[in-house]
Amino acid sequence: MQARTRWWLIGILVLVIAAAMGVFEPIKFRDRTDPNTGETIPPVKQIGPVRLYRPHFGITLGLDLRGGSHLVLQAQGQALYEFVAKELSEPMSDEEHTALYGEVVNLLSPEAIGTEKRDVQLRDDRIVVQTRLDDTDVSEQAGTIANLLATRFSDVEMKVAESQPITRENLTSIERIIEERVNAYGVTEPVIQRQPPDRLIVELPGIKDPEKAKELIRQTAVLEFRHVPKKYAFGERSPEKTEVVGDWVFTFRDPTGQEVPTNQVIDESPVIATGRDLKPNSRVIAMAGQPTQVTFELQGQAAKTFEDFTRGHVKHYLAVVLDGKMITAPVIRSTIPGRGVIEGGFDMPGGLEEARDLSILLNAGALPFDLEYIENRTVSAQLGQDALVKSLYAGLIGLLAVLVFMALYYRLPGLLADLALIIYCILLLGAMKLVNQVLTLPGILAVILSIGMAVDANIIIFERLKEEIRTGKTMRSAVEAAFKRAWAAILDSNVCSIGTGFVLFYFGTGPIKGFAVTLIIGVAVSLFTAVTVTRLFVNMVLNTPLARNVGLFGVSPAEVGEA
Amino acid sequence: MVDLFRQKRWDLVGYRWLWFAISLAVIVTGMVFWAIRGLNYGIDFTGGGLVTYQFEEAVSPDTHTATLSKAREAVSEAGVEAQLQLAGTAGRTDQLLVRTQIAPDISNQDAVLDEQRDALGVELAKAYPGITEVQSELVTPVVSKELIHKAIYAVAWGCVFILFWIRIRYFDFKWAGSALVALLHDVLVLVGVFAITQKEINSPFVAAALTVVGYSVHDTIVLFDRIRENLRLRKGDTFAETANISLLETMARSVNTVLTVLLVLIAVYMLGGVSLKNFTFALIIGMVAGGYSSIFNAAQLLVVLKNREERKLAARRSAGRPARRMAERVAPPRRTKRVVSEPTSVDKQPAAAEKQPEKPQQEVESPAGDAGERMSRAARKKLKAGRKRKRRF
Repeated sequence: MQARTRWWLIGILVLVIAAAMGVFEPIKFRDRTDPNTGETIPPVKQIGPVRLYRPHFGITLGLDLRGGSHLVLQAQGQALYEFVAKELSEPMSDEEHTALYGEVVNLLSPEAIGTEKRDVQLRDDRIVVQTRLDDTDVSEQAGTIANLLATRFSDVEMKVAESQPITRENLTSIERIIEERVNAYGVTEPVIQRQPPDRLIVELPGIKDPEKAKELIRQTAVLEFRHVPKKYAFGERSPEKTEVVGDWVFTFRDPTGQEVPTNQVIDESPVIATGRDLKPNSRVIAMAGQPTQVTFELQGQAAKTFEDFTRGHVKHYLAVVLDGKMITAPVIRSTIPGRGVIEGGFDMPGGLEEARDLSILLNAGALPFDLEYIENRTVSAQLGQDALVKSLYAGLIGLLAVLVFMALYYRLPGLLADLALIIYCILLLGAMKLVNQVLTLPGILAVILSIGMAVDANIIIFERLKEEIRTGKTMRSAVEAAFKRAWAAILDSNVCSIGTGFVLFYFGTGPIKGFAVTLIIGVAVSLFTAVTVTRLFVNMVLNTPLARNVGLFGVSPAEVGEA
Repeated sequence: MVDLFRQKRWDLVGYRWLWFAISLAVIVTGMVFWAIRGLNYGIDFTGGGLVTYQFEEAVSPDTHTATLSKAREAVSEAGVEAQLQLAGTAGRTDQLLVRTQIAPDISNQDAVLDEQRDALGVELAKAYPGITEVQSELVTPVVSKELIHKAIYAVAWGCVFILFWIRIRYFDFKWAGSALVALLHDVLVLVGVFAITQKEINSPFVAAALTVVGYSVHDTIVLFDRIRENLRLRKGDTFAETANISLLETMARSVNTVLTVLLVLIAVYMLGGVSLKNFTFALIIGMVAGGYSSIFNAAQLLVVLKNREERKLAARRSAGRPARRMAERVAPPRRTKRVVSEPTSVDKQPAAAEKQPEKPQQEVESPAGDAGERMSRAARKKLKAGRKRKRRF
């Protein structure tokens, strides 16, 4: 055996072993966890840091194979309008005020404004309307509302008409808040993905009650600044984050020193301001030598209320509560004139990240965007398991049929191609593991199809080989010519497959993307195994007496030289 | 099999109009069905819900109708308008598919779809106590509208990519165009068959269509590659003769490839789960159509185009203008690094002919016409550049 051939062989062997180790994970340096429960599986044997496991199929399965929900949420843009009406500034009793409010609400009915979600408030001499922007334009909607109000009030003037479209930053905030909720629900390995401009994809594998999770996810965020009663003293913030990101455990103590549950503290604390009063412009200010700060700003009337409140309650605790959960509890240091900073506690390791989290959450709370499910695909674990077993079984049968066909039809080279095909399967799985490609149901089909393509390359070569042998060449030059001449066709056809794969990847969604990626990887790997590996094997055989028997190559001796 | 095709000296090219007619007949039938019955768009394209329920036990074939009508009652009890279908794998029918529709112009579509599904679940559980919901897909029309656009773009861009790739690798747009027509043929046949069978068209269908496009072009390229090679080797033949020989030579490969893929696909179709059935069906139809179109359409169409070109050349020649031979026009310069071997499967060429491709043919056109002997410097440079370009691939 030539030295070069030997090195190639060793290289391929190493690749195959590496791929198999990656896929089946018999040896790991970290604990293996159950993908469905998240529990650690004890190793069969542990030697130092090396853990030995029983081999398993280590490629992550898609939702369609393990069960779960694939949700696509669309965030709706909002608009805010403020009108000043003279009549409102005149003194009126509470009853009158309530009646007037009812009138305005009726006037600005969802049908009249043309959106199903709208919120009307009376603040002093102002009418504040918040609407959802579906397809309507802001100026158009403002005109409609102004006209409606003009029918009731003699003197209305529009002060503010601003829209809050879903920007990149807003979408990040929404993503963050959904992450928070999904984590709180306790889903293992959820996937949350932004799909600009205004969509989020949420994948929840293996959940028991998808309906409940769905409702939890879509609620509008509720952010509140609450005043913690003086009787409670800040106990401590547990030094360790719980497994849920951004969810720290705060404890307060009552005067006797007893720990009080956070929920109780929240219940007893009155609300000072809500997310609605907050401008979505919170930032992190981190400068060397100064404590890291998170800014926040209140708007409108709330700024004044907040200022008054803080003036009277210096050294009291303020609880920032999001969706009923305390995310932080700063102490009031001084009067806050609408604009303030939260600082302290961000200067330990990981503090900067924590500050960023808080700022994103503050912004998210300030953006009560509506979320709508536009796509919801749920597969039960039972069906997924069923589909997995059935398609793998079918694929295996198909693969066997191909192996038998190749061996029978192309004889010796066919057997070699079969060997290359098995190597191909292992390398393909290894490559998928390497790029963390999730195996979906269409993905399995892509694997099966790419087996067909890998075989196709071999068929091109072997048909060529037969022809070359018939011309009466020596076996070695026939092999050389066959591989050389088949290459152009193989390359062209595979480039076309990869090209369409990329197109599919670009336009496809969800499982179709998985199909495309798997197909691209498959074609690329098949180029290597069907050409390089097969050629190596054929070359090795050429050195043995087998090569003298043309019958083994599917050519009858009588045909040699006749063409 | 290989011998079957090699030794039969069929004149495939001669019957080209017949092959076109067959393709056209299939496509026209499909289009007529499309026009009359329309396509059965799935929820990915119309919006709506598809809920799959699993029966506790398989439904025996003779109770299918009874089961369906009982389920239909339950569905109407739930106040939902829906289409029902029994499904299963490998002869075992144990699933009920319920497809609901939703008006595209109402608000809160997701809530409506959810309510529909909940109502269905309650009523069906009354009718069949052991039934469980195993899969639900709810798609609002917002998404489905986009999916249609994306699907069309995807197929269009896939075709454009292939068109230009073949144009780069082969001589002119006649080749790329013929390949593209063959691809469109495959897509049209696929859509036509789905119109005839009224099978559901979902986004996997688009994936299948694109895969078929990518796969069918394999066949076409292998064939073109062979024609290109034979054009170099068989200078005396007409284009049609060359194409016919090439067809016969590559026939075994084409048939075998389609066969192996079909083997696998049929296995998946028979044994794989319900969710893969339509996808696999589309691929099977597409693979067959693709195999047919490469052999019987792509090459044949190229022959038609080339014949026209030859006729034009002949007309010009008779008008007194010098015209180069067909084969010369078409054959690209050989790579400098050549295989030391005899040409394959054709009559042995004289040694002179073997060397000839080394000489410039396409790039060099000195007015005197004896470019091979005395090449101008610029021409040499041009030739070199040409080779380099070719070698990149």
